[in-house]
Amino acid sequence: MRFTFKKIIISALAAGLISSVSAQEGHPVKGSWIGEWEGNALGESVLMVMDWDGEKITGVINPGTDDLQIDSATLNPDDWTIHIEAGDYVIDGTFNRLELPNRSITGTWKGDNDSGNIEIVRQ
Amino acid sequence: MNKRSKLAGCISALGWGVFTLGASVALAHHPIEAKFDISSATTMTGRVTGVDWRNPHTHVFINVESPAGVENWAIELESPIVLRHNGWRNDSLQPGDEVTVEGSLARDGSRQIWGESLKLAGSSHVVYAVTKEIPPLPLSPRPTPHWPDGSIALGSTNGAVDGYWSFPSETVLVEDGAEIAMDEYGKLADLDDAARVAPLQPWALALYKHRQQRFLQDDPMYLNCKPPGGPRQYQSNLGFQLLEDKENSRIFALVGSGNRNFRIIYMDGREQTGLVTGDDDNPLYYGRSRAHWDGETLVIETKGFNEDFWFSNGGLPHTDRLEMEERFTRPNADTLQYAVTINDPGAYTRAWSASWTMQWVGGEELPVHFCQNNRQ
Repeated sequence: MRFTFKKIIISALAAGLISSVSAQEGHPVKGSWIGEWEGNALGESVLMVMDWDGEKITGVINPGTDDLQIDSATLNPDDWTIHIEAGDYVIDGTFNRLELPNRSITGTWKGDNDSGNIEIVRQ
Repeated sequence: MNKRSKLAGCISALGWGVFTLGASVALAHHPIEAKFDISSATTMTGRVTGVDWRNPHTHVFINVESPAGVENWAIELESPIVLRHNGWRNDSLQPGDEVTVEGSLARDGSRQIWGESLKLAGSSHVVYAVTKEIPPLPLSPRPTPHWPDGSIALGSTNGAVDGYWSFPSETVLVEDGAEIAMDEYGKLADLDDAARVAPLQPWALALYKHRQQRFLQDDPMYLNCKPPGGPRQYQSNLGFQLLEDKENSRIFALVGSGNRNFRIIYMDGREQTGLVTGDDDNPLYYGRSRAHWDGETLVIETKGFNEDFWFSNGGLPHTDRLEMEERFTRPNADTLQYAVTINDPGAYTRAWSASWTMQWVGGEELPVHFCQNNRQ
């Protein structure tokens, strides 16, 4: 329930407070993302920073604490899905509200022993 | 419903309320298709109840008799700047006048029409019509003006505000040589032509198509009243002015459609490293521009853009790796030739170029156009 509640809060804020989000009209992955990966032993809050250098997506998950470097990330623009591999983690998600700076990615994460849902919102 | 759910519901409602309000404000200025369904041509007759003469769009309100009773409709028209250029004034219509409007209905089903034409009922007298035609140039080209030092003047030679550039021959950024059907806002007639507009990377092509499929309604220039950036500065009928500050070796590009924004083009040979305190790690909306003369052509190199804007009508994406080379040439007093080379390896597969011309509008100051709340 807590996850659902937070999801509602995130969605409401994302929908309502557009002006507080920095604009990003270039590559959709670029920027800081904050959200939750449900049931993760590292903690349910997750922060990701991603960039696009013209050829590949780079980034880090939970910089400063877990420092999980993104080993590879692939965006499929045909259906706006993304596949991310970072250490032992694999994340598969779909972009929502692609046209807005506060777009989100929802999907699943999978670790060595655990898995769950993930939702991150671009800040 | 528990407290937490109620709170969540309130926040959600508040959020959507803000979003809806924002959207209604944002669409105050927009590509026509973003708000109106141009396939829904309609004609109706009613009596004028008022005229709201303001930027970015004028509205005429009419009462229309219908089987259900009298309905008040809003007819949306071009900005006062464009209407004035077409001979219209805020008192051209008076309350009580009976008018017939032809236009397109709003997509959201509200009682709004985009007015293509507006006539006094029972007559052929058109009180509103906008020509999209570019006025003809003088039959005998006037010579290119020069400064006393012999250099070409990009504006008025006295530096005063008695003219500006407008009427671009192209209002959409498209690679030179590509013939593609689209409207003046860059909305493609056929989405299958998207890949021919420019050499887009796959993600950029998909994003461009997504914007097109949403009728360009997400354009931050309209959504958030941001000024046009990049080459888009020179594709608005609201014009721009190049003000040369020779004493300080810089040129100000004053953007008529940009809420009185200006871009500085440095002519002093400085590095493109931003402010003297150094902020080259901070990309900017207009990037960092420096220029030099190559014969009678002004060559501007710009890099250091951020990604906060659409750099073209129609929604072509760019990244912070964008570098532009722009070339301005004034072959005669009334013509400005513009050519731009786009080099953005973040969004395009190769460098590409586009070009168009603009015309001198003499004897007038640059129109004052604010995206919102500006009465003239």
